[in-house]
Amino acid sequence: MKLPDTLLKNRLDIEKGINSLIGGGVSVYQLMLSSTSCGCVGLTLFPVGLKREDVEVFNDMLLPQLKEISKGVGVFPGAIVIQTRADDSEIAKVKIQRLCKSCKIDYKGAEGKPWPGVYTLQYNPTDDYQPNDNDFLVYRSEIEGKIRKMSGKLVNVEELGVFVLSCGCSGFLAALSGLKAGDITGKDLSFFKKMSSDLGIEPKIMYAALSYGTDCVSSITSKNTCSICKVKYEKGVILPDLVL
Amino acid sequence: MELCVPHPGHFEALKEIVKNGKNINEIYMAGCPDFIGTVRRILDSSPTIEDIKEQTEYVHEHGIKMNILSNSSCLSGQHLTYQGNKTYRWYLDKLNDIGVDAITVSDPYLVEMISREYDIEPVVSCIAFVDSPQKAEYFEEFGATTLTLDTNIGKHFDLLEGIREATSCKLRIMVNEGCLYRCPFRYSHFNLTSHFFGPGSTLDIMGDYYHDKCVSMRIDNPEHIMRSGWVRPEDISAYEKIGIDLFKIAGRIQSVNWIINCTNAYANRSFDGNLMDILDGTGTLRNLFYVPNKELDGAIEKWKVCDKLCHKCNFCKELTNRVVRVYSGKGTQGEQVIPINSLKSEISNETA
Repeated sequence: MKLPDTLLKNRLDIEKGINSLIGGGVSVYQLMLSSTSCGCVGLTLFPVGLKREDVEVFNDMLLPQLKEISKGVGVFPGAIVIQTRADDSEIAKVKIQRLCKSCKIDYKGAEGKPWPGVYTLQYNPTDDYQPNDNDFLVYRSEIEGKIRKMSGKLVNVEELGVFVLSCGCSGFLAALSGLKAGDITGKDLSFFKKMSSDLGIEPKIMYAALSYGTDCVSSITSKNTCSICKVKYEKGVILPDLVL
Repeated sequence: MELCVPHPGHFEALKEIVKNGKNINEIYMAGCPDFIGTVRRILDSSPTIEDIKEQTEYVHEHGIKMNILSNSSCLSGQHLTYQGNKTYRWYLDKLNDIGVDAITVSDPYLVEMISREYDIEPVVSCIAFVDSPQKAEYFEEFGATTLTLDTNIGKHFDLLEGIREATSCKLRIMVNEGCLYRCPFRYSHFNLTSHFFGPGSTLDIMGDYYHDKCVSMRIDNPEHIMRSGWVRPEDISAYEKIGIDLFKIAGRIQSVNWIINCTNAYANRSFDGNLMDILDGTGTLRNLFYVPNKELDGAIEKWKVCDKLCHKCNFCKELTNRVVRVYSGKGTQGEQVIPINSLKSEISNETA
């Protein structure tokens, strides 16, 4: 099974699993497998309607499912962390991560509350770095190197990942800093499309997002759109900042 | 050396910071944003009056002072309205009853009000931008007894010495803020965040223009990192010699262990690693740039006499080119740090 199909199935399974535990009302609108420039690799769930209390109560049943899914895509579940929205117990993110050296220290602190609003549900990091078939750290590094060479800029690819959405879209995304719109307009981004395709995402549309009010590129995305979003892009209901 | 140390706001964090941090004279934390805001993000669980009371008692048991931040750069004129003023007084009365030792404020009105009416020390925030002997004198006249100096003058020894001579206030400097020197966004960004994290905020912004521009500018010109007003742990003694009384660590939105490690680097007066790892306000840039702190030994001698005419001097630019490295393949088995000039030259050749 291709990675996006695995993630689409995982997203649905997690959503069903959570709703069967707490009685419904939760949507997992995005699931993403990614690596970050600090050196972490992880799966991130973006839920709506899930409360911290729900996770605390059903911890024992939920965590094994998350770990299983994580291992299935090659991520050692060194830490499972939830992050709540400001001044609220609603969960914004659930992260299952193989932690980098620096985050191992960060996530260890303060009785499972390394920052306010961040709760470490499990902390069991490994010291071993073992490359695997879905080694997003290597992908991140490769893409960063290629964007630097293409643009001549000291680009920092802060996060590189494959994501799936509840509508059925899947995508390949590089969140970055150090790049301007002029650095990629008209440039050969075939390396990005190729990696996207290699990871199972047909790049039906490719675009860059700009930081608001600036010409700074905040991300490059190639997306395999679902049938509804395809029409939205075609009709201009969704207007990317810069179509590539 | 006495340190003023940040606290994110939850009690678990405070206990670890107090237990593991060295040389802590004062803890500072955000107050209740429902009354007077601050200029930094308040991460979930905004402290209530009860939280502040409990935590103040705790630090007092450990011989440490508690400082509550109320340093919005814009109070929206609330302090000058009848209702707003009444609310402020209610809040300050509560803090007074709790026994907090100090309140950090940036508005001169609040400095005067606190110094006249409360048994709490009004500490002038770096957001009051005290950057000259004249401004220091004004704030002393308003009743301030401690001034946190503008971070822009962290490497202006002539101004620091001048301020020391002009005022009898205690002087503190923020040692690890990594912001742009003479940042063009500073006032606008502080005003944005004051409203964003202040009372009754309903702002739903589309993006943080100031932050994103700042990151972009520092990547385009990494010498901005070097020009910034930070002070290395090894250089603290140079500031003690000119009469700086207290050293404030920035970073209350960082993780608890980051705060402890940073505090102890300054307490130990030594840090062997990437300077970016102990600077606040550098975000993900610390995963891009490696600034070997120990290789900056001696640079302070130039900064002590620097006239800040960067376009003529180029010292910081040359220092950047000499010592700063860029991460490549971070987190992988092939991770390396490449001298900035080599990498720039390599990628520009490829582009050509």
